[in-house]
Amino acid sequence: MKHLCFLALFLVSYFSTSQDKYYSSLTIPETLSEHANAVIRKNDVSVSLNSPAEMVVEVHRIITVLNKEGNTHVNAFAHYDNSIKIKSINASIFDANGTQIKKIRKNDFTDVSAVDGGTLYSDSRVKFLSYTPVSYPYTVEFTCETETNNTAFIESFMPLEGYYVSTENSSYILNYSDEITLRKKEENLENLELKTDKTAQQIVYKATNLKALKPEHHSPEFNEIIPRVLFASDKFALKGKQAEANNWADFGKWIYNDLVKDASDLSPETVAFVNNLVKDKPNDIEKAKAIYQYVQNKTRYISVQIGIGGWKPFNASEVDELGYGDCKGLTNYTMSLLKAVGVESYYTVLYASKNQRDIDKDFVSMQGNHAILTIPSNKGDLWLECTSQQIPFAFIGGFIDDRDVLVVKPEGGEIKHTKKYYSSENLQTTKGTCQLLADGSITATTSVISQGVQYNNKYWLESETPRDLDIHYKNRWNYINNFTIDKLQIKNDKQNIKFEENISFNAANYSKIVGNRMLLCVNALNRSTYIPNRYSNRKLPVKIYRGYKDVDEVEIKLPQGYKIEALPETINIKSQFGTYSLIINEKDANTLVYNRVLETKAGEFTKEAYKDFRDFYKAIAKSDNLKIALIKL
Amino acid sequence: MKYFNTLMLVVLCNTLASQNYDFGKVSKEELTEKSCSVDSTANAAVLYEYRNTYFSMNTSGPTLQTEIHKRIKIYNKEGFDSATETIDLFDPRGAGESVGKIRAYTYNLEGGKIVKTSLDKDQVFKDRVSYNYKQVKFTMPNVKEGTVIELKYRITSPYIWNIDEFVLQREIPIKRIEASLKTPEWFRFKSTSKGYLQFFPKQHLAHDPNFETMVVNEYKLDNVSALKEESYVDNINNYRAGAVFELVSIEIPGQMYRSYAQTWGEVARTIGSSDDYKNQLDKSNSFDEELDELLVGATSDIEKMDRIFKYVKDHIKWNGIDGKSFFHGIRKALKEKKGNTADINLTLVAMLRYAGLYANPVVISTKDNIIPFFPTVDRLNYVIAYTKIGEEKYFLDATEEFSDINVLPVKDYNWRGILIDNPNSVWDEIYLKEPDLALSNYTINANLNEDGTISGNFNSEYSKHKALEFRKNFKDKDLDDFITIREGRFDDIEISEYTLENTDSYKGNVEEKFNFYKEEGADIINDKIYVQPFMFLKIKENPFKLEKRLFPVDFGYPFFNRYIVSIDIPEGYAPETELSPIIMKIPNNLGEFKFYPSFVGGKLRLMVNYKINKAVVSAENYLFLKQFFNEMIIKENEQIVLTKT
Repeated sequence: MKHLCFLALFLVSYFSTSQDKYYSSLTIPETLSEHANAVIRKNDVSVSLNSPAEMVVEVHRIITVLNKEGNTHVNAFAHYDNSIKIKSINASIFDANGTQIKKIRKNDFTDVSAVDGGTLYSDSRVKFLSYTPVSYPYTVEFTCETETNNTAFIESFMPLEGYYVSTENSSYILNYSDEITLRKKEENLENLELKTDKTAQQIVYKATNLKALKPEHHSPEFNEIIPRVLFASDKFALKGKQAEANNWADFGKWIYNDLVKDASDLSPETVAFVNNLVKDKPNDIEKAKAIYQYVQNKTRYISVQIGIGGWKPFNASEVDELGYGDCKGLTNYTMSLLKAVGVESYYTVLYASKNQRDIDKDFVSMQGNHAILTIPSNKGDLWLECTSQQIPFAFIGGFIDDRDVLVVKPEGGEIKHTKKYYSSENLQTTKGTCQLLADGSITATTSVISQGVQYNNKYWLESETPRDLDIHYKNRWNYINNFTIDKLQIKNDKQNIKFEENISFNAANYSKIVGNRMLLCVNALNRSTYIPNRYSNRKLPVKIYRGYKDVDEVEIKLPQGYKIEALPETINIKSQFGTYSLIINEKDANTLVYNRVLETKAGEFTKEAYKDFRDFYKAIAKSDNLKIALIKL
Repeated sequence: MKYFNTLMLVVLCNTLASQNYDFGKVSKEELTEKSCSVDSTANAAVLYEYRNTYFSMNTSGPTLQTEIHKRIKIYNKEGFDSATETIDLFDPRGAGESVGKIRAYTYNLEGGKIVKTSLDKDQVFKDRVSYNYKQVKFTMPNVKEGTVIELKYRITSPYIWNIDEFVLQREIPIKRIEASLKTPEWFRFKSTSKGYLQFFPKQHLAHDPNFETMVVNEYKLDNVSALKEESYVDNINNYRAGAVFELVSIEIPGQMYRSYAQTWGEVARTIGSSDDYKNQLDKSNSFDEELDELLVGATSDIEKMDRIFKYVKDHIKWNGIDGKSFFHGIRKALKEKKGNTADINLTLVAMLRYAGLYANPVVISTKDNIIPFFPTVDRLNYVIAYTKIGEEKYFLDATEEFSDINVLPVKDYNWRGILIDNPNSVWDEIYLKEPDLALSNYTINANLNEDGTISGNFNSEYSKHKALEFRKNFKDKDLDDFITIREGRFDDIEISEYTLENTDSYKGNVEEKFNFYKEEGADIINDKIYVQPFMFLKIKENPFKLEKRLFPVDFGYPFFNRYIVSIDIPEGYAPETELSPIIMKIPNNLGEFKFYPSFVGGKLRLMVNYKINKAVVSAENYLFLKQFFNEMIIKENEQIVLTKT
């Protein structure tokens, strides 16, 4: 209680002295309005961890919105459900001069279900401020107090909230009771106007004058570049379940015992059924393949989140009956079936995202947004994505590959790294023949085989309708006007994880006839036209999350009555971002063969390297646009 | 009874002839069916749907009951989405629509036997999505490739005067759909069929002990293909098969007779006699002083109109809500500085009238609200202001920051409007003034170097809707970001000295100027320079990819792009061959394309006109349009060979 009194006093004195100036937009320092659509004038977060099962969060923020785009940064909202209560929530609106023009009380907040598009049902709700500004700039003051018995997630100190928003003041106070052992992790705090304070039961952070960042292509994810401090308590609670952990082993044990273990029930009929299903399979991997296929055929992804269900999988018996579940439910179901046939596998927690994101292994805490399954094998671990009905067994390229994950074993948790797909594995092989005709038209036959992440980019085409495929291929070859498909055959080889496209197409006026010459763009089948944006003053470092490799070998049959004027020289491009080569040979008087190899590299680079990166792609686009002149015989 | 017998017979015949559509009578044939006969590429299909809407009497009075029965086939995994049902209910304060009697089953064929799984009540989720709406959602258990699901429920509504559209076409094909509406004769609805498919309802009479004579409208459609999204469509729902209903009269013999609008004139009169239009519109005491001051020195009506239009734009911001009736009213809207469409545009009318101008509201339905297919009060969602000065007509909408007089937001140009001229007792349809040609003028002077690089300056000017669009796109964007977007849009040229004029105002033209540089300005092959004189201005891709089109193409407004390009070429070079011009027109004067290259005094010159004369091009002209774009792309991508002389 002593601490609370002190806190109250501290806050009161702080507010009364300095906050009035934030209501007016005229007082914004010039450096903070640069590139900003909104300015966080102040954001005071006070977290009180009164016990491992009671947390009160008070937020007091003043945001000046400079234009329409800035409205998204107001963030005057609060989530609630059975375990989070909104004790108070208020807002006020001020005009540019700082005169109050509107007050919004709890009942005037819009109250809606917090369901996102992909979820069938969730019991989570949100109250948010919906205000139509009459002019810009304007300022919003928002105060909110929530109370929860979930302490598994402690709000982070995150003074920079997004792109195009600057921060004048951001403070964070965490008070915690003496039964709590607190851990924290600081990230990117260098170059920050920062004050910190730590006493026995209190941590304080205060940052000032953070300039607005602009997003730039090919930079690291926002959460990798921003300053923040993460917090976790050794003792915590999640929707009524108590836990204690300060290492991954214990943390994993808790997940296993409290969330996973008792969810693996199956009826004797199902156990008998799956045992029958795998009875002829020679080994665990073959058994697992059969089970995985069974799950893919039987289930589909449907997300329903109620209470602890947001963290705990549906029971396997329930998924068995319904034929659907979310990532947790389907992973647990697959695990339970595998267990029933004697194959060992582990529930695994991670971040699913196109750009790799690790579970932060240095910071033991509730993390992740997805669940998959790990099967140990003597050839290394296999990773199963259980929410897809289509992807091949143990294929993970594109969304869950190459990242640290938490593998939950009965004996404890363990951080592991999922399979990385190297450039050479993300291979696309194009073979083809292009026949050019004297009227400038082209007919081409090509076979494209895609593997690795490139397989992931294409396998979904298998189930598209002919109409959508037609649009897809016209878009893929959008640099060919009048593109018409003559024949299309798609083969998804799930066994070898290869996607094969066999396409014949034609296009009138492909080559331009100019006088007695014909101008031919050699690369008709796989042209890279992408040129990265130009930034006159690049601010962010470069990060390329994955590399890939394209190998093309194409025969070009010249039109009757034409011959080549001169053979172009071989092109070789080398950069820290990859390599490219284009070689054109004359096979016979009427046939050219070109061989093109492009391999790009993943990695992290400085912001200065961006120019190189852009030049690399520019050079490729130029080379892929290479034209040769044919002359009439 | 007679009717009943015939009906029975029809049903019997049907059953014998083909399918059994009774609830629960899912057949093995349906379960083994591998693809849909309507469209073999369908991922799922409605095998049968029946919607029965009728009046029913309960303790609190008459209610509207809607029974739904659907049988859906899932052919493959892509069709799984069709196994989820979402029922939206209008339910402010919990006293509105409700759903009950949900029964649903999944049917699978397992080892040659039909296995039925029922939907568990725990798996039906009710959710209040907003203050006015709730949602009931469920997804079927045990769904696999080949599954047939069948569901049934009933919606009860107290809103007997408001019957939702009967949707008769969906995103998946329908093999058979039947719908029936049964309403008392004394509570008369007019029905109108919509969409690009032709079908006609059958009407007959029936008897009900509570309501006496009933009118029954019945719909039956077979083999309805799926409705698919296309580009440049105003609103896909305009083309979806459906039936819409409007209450036209209530008659209780000996007690009351009330007639609702049946012609557009009557619709106008009905709206005109509402309090908002009849009384509130002429109350000027909340703004008279300000307006007197505003109009000081205004000599012409046009000047008055201009000042008032600007005044309303500056003083009331749109809250994003459509409406033909006040949300706040004039006084409160002016005080709060915001309001819905009616608050803004009716204030505009009131002020114009106060200034002594002829001014009236024109009520419309915007593009997002579909075309009103028949005289209706309820389905009109928006109001704009109309004034006439001399013989000139002016339409005004002050909700959009960058709209101008007779340059309305594009969504306003949807069909026609309803003029509510109470002072002169004129209530009738009115055609909105079609948008003028939006002009874009480009002048480019460039320098082509022997190494293939090209540099130059770009000057352009945009008018009318092109200016509106430009301003909206530019608004609140970081300038550097915007330049980056322009570089990408113009074939990755490098832009410097970028300036814009007049982007904050809603009047006049926007001007855009910059210098550019492009490394790969031309191809150099064997000592010859191959250059595309239209450079980065060319259209690269035909937006019309599909071979046929069912709906009109909506460009939003007509436009005319004019380009004058002049390129200095390296000394000693000249075009190898004669430069050929082209003139191309789309039939029915829908559009034209002119391309005039020339070589004069060491300069390559190019004049291009590209014009689309009509905002909307009908589906019959689609292939002309596709071909037009195709030829245009070929011409614009043509290269000129420069050789040393």
